[in-house]
Amino acid sequence: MAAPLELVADVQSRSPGRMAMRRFFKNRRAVICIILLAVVGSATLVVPWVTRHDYRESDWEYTYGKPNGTYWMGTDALGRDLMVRVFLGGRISFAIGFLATAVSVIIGVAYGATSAFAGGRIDAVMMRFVDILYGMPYMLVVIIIMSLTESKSVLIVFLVLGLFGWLTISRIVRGQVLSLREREFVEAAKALGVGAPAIIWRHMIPNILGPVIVYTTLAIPSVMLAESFLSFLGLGVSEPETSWGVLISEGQQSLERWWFVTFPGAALAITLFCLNSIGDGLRDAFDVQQK
Amino acid sequence: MSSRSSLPLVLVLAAAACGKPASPAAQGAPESPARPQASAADEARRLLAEAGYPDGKGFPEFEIIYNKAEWHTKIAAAIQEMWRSKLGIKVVTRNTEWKVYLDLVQKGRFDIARRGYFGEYIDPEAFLSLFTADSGYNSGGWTSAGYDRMIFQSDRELDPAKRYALLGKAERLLLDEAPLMPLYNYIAHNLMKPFIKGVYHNVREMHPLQNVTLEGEGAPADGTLIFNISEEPHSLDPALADDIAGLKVLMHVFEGLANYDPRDASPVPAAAERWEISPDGLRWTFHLRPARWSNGDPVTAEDFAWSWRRAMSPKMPSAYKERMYVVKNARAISRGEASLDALGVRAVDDRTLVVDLEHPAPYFAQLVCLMVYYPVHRATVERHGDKWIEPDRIVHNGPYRIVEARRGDRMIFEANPRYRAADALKLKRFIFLHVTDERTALSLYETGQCHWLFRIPTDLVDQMRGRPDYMAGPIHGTYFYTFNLKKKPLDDVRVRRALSLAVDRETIVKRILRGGEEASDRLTPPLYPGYEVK
Repeated sequence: MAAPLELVADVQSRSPGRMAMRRFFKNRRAVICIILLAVVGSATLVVPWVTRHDYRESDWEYTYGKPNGTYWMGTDALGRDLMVRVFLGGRISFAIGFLATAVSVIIGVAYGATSAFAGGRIDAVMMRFVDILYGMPYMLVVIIIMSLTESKSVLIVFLVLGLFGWLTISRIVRGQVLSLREREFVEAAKALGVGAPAIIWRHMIPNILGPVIVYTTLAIPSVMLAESFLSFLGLGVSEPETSWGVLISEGQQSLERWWFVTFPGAALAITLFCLNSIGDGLRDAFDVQQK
Repeated sequence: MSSRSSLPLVLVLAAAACGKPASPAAQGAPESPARPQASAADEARRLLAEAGYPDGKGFPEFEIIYNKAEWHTKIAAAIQEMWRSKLGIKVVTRNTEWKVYLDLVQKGRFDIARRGYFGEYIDPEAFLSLFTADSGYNSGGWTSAGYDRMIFQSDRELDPAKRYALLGKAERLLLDEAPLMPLYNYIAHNLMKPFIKGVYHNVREMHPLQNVTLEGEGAPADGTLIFNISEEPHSLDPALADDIAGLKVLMHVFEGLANYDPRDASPVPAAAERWEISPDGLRWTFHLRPARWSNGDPVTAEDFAWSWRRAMSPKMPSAYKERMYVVKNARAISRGEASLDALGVRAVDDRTLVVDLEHPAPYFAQLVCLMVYYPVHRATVERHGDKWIEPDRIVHNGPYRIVEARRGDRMIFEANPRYRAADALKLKRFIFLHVTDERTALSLYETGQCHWLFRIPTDLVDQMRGRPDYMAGPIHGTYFYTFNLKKKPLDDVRVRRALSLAVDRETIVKRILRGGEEASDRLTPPLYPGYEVK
């Protein structure tokens, strides 16, 4: 009689989530990237706080200044400390990346799950609507909305990016829910009389979490890139606030001054690389076939 | 991080820099820059407190609008920071495309707007008339009966010295009331390939291309000059065009009674071969040269008279209209108070045009170079309505025709074979580019895809100044900011003066523009001998 108990314990310790985590932490590159990302992320929080320079303050005697003892990353055209601006810009880039992705993941999961769960005609209509939105050039729509709102609040940027970024995730979630709906454990739960909300909460969500997490880590970099593209066009964040996109855009205006583009460019590149590697690592970890 | 704590630091840094003999700030600045600036800031803070906003507390968040260009962005950011650090005021900045910007500014839909003006005739009145109550340019809502009266009187004053005295008094009043905040006087910065011959710097920055030649090393084999004029014209209808880009294009497509001399931009005979002025200065008689429209019709004096009446019609919403108000009854007609026939212009015969003025205007010959005075072809305009300027319909009388106009890209011009002096045209073909990004334009220039720029990125100006292909000089223009008095508390003169006082113009010209521009605390450029603001 001991054997079945052992079996149960073994299954518990090997729940899909834990197994995935174990696989993930064996991936050296992904772990290094998490550490690196944590370093960059905490620097954007800590550096602007401990530095003695204000991100808005101009040193008119040292405009276009090379990095030196006072200004470790140099100064910009208005003599403002670039180091505090790079890390402060990082805050905004991170905030836009995470918040816009959160908005799109919430909308996408809710929409996709509803569509799949409702099924039939509702599902068809909801998915054709997604197809129509897919057909529209995403960036163009975002640019039109940004110009129409005439507002340059950061809030608008991530709302707009989030509102138009949920299409892919809704499809992924719909597909997952559709296949889960037919699985034995869901049927069993249904047969035992478990209600729909409980089924979604206990069985659907934990099972679609893997793909959603993977998608999220891969979506953040694309949102950050979209923000820097918008800043390139002069939409997005406005002075004196800044973001990596804005700083890089200013940097490419003055390529002779290497420090303009190097520091924000490096910060953005490291962040994007890390997020993508972590996303890759998670995808490998959650991939059932790879066992 | 508070706004108050940062100010002393700026002053300390400035003071420290002044102490060092070799510091860049000490050169070229005869008086110590830290002191007068500090007292101006104190005065600004005092005025703002008096107006009810001590340390900027409770001051609404205004928006600065400007059109997209790197130096507008930098100046706006600098002003934003100066107001923040000196007054504790927060403003936001917003850049827009040129046409959107013009629209917002002309309709008064702004709080604080970057503006700039190039006076169309070399006279202080070219600037001062912008701020009279009935000026279309004056969209910020500032009016002063006393100011309008002084401008009106100056128009009727025949003694030049007394006239300048009146204008100088009017400008003093304007500056004390501060509906605008002058920043600096423009300088033209040109980068021009050495094979371009026949272009000269002039204060109006007007370069008619008829007599330009391309010769010497590197001259393009197809004889096509490529000039980046940056912005696209707002309109190509001479009666509606209201920007410098429009003038640059239209002066090549149409021909007014007079045109600019390429050397000094003084008016020289064009469609008119000569003109006479009556002893009282009120009647001008123009004698036209024989010429043809591009469809073969002869250009007559009646064409001019009809076009001028059309331009003054109350239905034409041109910001440049006021440049014709000097013609008798033009102002009344434009307001709908007189019939079009009352306009002081008539054709005595096909080749003689008589113009009656409201008041003597020695600068009238400079005015007739402007597009609002150009003739248009009546039958074409009447047949096609506002679509008559489309490339396949347009009928014009100027030296060049537009062969192709690509939105946001370029306009291609070729000699008009029916132009009255077509054989004398030295330049047969040229292209105007609309590249608004200075960096892009500069790389086009450096790679030979563009031969002439009239703007240079501010952070490179100091490197360009020594180059042989660089041409620069002062021009008849001022860069300034205007306040919208309909937005409280910008209706309070103390607030406007505080905002103006808190802006350190020397810093803007020396640290941002870096091209030798002169900081200015007045609207008119310092180009009129004997004129003083007092």
